[in-house]
Amino acid sequence: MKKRALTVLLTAAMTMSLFAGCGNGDKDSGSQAGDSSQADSGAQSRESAGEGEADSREEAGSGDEAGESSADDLSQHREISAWLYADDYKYFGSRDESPLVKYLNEKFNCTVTFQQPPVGSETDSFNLMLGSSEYTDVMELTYSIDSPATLYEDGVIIDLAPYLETYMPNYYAWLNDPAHEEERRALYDDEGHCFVITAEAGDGTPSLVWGGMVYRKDIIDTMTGGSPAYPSGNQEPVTVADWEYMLELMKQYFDAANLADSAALILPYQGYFPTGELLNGFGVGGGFYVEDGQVHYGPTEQGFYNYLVKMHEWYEKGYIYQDFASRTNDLFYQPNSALTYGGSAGVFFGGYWQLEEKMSMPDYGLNMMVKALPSPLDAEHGENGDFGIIGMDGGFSGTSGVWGVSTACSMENMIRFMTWSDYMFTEEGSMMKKYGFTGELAAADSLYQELGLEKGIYWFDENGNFVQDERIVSGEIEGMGLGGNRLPGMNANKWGYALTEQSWLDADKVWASLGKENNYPNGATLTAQESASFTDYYNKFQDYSNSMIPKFIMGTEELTEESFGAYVAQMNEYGVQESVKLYQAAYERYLNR
Amino acid sequence: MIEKNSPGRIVFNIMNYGFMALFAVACIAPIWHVAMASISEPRVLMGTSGVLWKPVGDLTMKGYQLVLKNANILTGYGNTILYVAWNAVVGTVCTMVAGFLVSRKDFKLQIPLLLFIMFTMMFSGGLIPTYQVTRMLGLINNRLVMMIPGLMNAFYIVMMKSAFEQLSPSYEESAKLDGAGPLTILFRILMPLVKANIAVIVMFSVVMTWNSWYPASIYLPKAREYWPLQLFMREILIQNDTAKILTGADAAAKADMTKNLVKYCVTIVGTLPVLCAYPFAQRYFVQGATLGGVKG
Repeated sequence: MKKRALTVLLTAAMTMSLFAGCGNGDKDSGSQAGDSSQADSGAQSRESAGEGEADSREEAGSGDEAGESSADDLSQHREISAWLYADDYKYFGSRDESPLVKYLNEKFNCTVTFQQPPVGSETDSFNLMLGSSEYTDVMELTYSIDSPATLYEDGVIIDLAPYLETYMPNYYAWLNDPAHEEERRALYDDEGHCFVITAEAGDGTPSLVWGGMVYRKDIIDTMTGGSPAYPSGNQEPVTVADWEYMLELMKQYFDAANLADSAALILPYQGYFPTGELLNGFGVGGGFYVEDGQVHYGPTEQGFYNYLVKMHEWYEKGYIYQDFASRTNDLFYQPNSALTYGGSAGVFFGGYWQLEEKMSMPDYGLNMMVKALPSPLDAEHGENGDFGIIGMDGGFSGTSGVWGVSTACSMENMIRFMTWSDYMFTEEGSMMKKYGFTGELAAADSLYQELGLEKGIYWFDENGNFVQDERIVSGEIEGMGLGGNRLPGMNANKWGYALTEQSWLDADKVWASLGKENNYPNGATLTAQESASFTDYYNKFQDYSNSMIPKFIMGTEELTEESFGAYVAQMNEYGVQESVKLYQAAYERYLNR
Repeated sequence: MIEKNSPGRIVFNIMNYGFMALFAVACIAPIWHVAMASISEPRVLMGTSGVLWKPVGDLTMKGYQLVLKNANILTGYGNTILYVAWNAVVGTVCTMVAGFLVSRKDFKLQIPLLLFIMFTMMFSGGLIPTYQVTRMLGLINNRLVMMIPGLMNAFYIVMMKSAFEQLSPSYEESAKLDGAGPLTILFRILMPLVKANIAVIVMFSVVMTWNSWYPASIYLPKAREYWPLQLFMREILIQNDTAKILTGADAAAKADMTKNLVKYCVTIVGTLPVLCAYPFAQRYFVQGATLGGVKG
């Protein structure tokens, strides 16, 4: 009897313990699934959590049209808590110690205290904050697995739209500038809510593409005496035929060198670049893209078949790295680095920091000349360069890198934080955010003095030219941590752009040569329910696609019009067409904002 | 009498030793690779794949210099040594006392206490409730969070209980006849008889505390000065950037080449002490972890 009672007791305890961790907002299980019942309970929690504050916020939001009375009264000191992911700046361990934060705190009579988890624990820390409902006043949302709209539905953050014009006039003006139409559409939702303050606001300076296909020009020069005869007649490879000419030369070069391991072309493990490199030239993208107002999914399109046929042909000829399929999804995974940095790869995915002679090792007789490559145009199937996607654009990235104000934040703290942030949307503030201090501010700061930066990180010479301290330019002093990277605000990119290395500017022209007319806009987002359905479809068709494409390329699966048709049919069965419909609807909503 | 080896026996021995040798190489190879990589020339290392049996390029201690120059590594070492020592000494004493207590048949609360302890082995409140309790106790960003909540382990208590129960009751009875109290019985009579178990618990605690980083990452977000070595190491290994560890001119254009080297060096620096201590404690493991053995 005793045993039976003990068993019942233990079973009951086990059941109780199962429920113990299932509180509202357990992001690991609940929100990712995104079911409507959770959204409902979240909405209820939003109503109850922020009810008192919401009333006062409503008053503040509506009463401000009277004008000056709405301005923040800075006489009262405010303590504001902020969640931000880990910093890895060497001059301070926490953003609390940043000279810029200290300056802003003093200027706006507040103390913004940053709660920053260690590197690698960001997701746990963010989820723990949501799970325990102990929100900081404001939070950076990069590590949220939910969209800002879902966080709003769950009662975590508030809608900032009613307060922007009053308390963030500079941000409001930036959002409503016709030049920032794309950003405005991304930051407002379909109902006119704006949940976030961006940390990635641009100043209109074009953003540079930071990575793409690169090739070893020194190999081609060695093999041709510096006079390559590309079939297209160009000086650089442009068409598929040009690439074949180039890859054949590279293969001959590596064969002659008798290397243990080499690759004329390195593909990622999926067999294609999801960011669109290479595929661009075949008139398709690696994921969802837009063509003539219609959303498509690249790996099920005809152009993708043409790409696969060509890749299979190149694989058979030995141009493509034999073991590409066994690599991980990291573009810079170390075995690939061993090939690229070891001088045993001809064409690969590279970044601007690898261009020209930066990968050379003269002491070991390894001299490399790395140049950017555009995607090969599939002229045989009529591709002439009118299709363009840019995967590695360093520009505005939608709702990533944004800040939300939590329902736990008081009205006064919200206003102060908005005022604090809005300063970094002014011309003066955006210079500080992007670069750091100059002039008197730099001279007076102890860290700047310690680093010998009394003159500042930058200054303007007598001709009005922007000048940066040499040690910042060379990387000897880590400049980024002295500015306001990741903080809300606008980046004064135009000055730094003028100092960009010529090799990167040249590479940008090549990588962006096809344009980004067909990019699916970052700001077009799925609703919570759509997102849940899509995740379900995506997991299935992505797994299938990742298993089939390398097989088509390597020839372990026969590649014909029929077999590709069967593959597409299976992909559609797994939900590609439904996903396209969801993306189409999101795209249309985005256009209508 | 010396048994003559039959051909089958010889084949078996060759296979046996061969397999064990291969197994040993498979265990040692990764550590050896990391050790060799840590003293290799960084740029040549980046262009090399496969297991390294010897350093590549010119031999360099640059990585170790950079690691040891870093104040975080030293802070982490200091903290880890403190936590390890605390858990090894205080934790083991507490575990022993608890084990002794629940092994006493004449202790009225023996069964409820044992059930209470065993309950925690099977059920946990989960991360969020634990975090909330810890926060309410004022232990967030407090060094004590690394020293109090994980001080005793229910499994070790049960281990100690079993060890004490297997000792003959005559030891305790004769000590009582001589006028010994419970503490004398525990520390002067019984403890020397279960020293193999204590050694195992100390070693387990040391290894577990040495490798621990998760509690610190959750409970000490704003107290880097209390972080253990492993959390700093994890940070360096995860972030694909060693800007923090490089200083001054070293950072200029060198970070890209040195980052892998620094990762290897940090791994060696963090692993070496436990690696060195393990062989000395190994002899206690077989006798200590075998709970059914006859003692005394």
